[in-house]
Amino acid sequence: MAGYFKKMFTALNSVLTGMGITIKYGVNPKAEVTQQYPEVKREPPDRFRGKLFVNINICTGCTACARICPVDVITLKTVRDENKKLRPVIFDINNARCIYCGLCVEACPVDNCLYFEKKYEFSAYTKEDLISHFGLGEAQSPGKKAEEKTADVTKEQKEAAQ
Amino acid sequence: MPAADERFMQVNMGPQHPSTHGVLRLLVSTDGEVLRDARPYIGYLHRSLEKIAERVTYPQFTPFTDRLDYLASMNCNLAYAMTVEKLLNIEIPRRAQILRVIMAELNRISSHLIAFGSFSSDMGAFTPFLFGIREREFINDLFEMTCGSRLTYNYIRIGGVSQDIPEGFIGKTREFLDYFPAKIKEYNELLSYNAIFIKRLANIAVISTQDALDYGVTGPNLRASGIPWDLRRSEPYLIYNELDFNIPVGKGEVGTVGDAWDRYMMRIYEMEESSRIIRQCLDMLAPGDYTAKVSKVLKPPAGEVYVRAENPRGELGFYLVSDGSTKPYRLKIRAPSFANLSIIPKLARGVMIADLIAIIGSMDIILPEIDR
Repeated sequence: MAGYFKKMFTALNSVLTGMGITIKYGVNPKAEVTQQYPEVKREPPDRFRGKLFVNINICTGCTACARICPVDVITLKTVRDENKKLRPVIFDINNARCIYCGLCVEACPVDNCLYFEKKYEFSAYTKEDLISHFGLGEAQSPGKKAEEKTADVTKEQKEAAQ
Repeated sequence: MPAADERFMQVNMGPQHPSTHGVLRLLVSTDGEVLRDARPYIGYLHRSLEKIAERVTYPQFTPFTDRLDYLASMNCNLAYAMTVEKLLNIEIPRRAQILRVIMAELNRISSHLIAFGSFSSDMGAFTPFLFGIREREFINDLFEMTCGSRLTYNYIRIGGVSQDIPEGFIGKTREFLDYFPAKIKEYNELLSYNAIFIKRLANIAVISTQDALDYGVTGPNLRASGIPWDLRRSEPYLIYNELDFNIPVGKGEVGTVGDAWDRYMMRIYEMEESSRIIRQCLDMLAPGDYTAKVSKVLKPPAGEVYVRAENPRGELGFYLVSDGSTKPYRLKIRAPSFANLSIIPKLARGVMIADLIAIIGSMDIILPEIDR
């Protein structure tokens, strides 16, 4: 009989201890940890891996990012321009497929070229809208240089003179 | 599937059952309230990670290991990195090793917090789940400021870690470690020693020492059965042999050794031990390199290695065969949850349906790792 009551007492005691903790949190306004997300937004840390951004003007078109990407997110097409430099005409990042592993950012040899923005809200209605296009587009056909033109004219004149 | 016995009712539990921790389908045949049999059907999360490994280079596979056990990505990263390093024979700088241990143990705590929380919500107590999530948030913030991600970290790389810890990390980690013990005490008061909770779990689904060994159960589930087998102690890697920590072993405090309550309690004890390890590591942290010099194109010599590491859920093993090219020839993943799942049909025979939830919850399986 004594054992029966003892058991009852321990059971009641343990339940009440638990309830005590719950009530403690219930009445303590400091215990609130909820963040009111859409109204209050937290600032992500500096290393936050958000949406990928390419500063295309300093991109050298080395394709290191496209090669390291494990899920083929980056479509990169380059052509050589008049100065024999690689020009990234197409640089598409498919955000729908990106796993935000950060390998491309580490592979990029140029400072501040490819990096993560602190953006994390970029949902879209279609899959196409999730692809960011950074490419410079096809370059205009490089015209002849002035010296070449002059050379051409002199040549023509010589031919005409003969 | 065997021909259904007409005396028993065949019921599907899952794949969308909230207590199955993912997409586990259990085909149970019941005799009234009593289970005759429970067969797990898996594969709903199959992404053929082992095949993907053959198609990507060695460094490229690291983000995929995040997706093995997503609650303990750091530990999965670590095991994979150690496998490739063994093949390449690289020496890891000391600072990198300490950082790896800190991250792995922090992740162990966060994983056990989820195990604690989800188990309690399976058992019908929802409040502890929120408590667990609240403390996990601290760890998530720590990881986020270190590597920029909250779940799939991809932080531990071949050769070291991806970047050094940021300013303020040590202070914040210490803050967390000072704050955490009080919370563990609260968990114990709220849930662990609650009479209803004990009544529900004591003497349920006892795994005997022999069964645990026979079925290849590892991790806290094995230790709950009374076997002090922890790879951090039995087969030390990184700097674990220099650290002072205990291996908690199931003692059958409220019932039999190896019952569901013991398995649950192992995780609470391990969180305390992990906190101790992190504290020691923070003291040991000295300036140095955070990564060894690893060439960008990895070409390990032809050969094969098997490396295992102690994950929150058991032994995670990677069996890697290299043919000398830049891509693995074959990668076999030994997932701890898969072995732990295999004992469920044996445990489930003859128990009540409600206890099946307790069995799955106490084993703390995770499905992406099983299906991979």
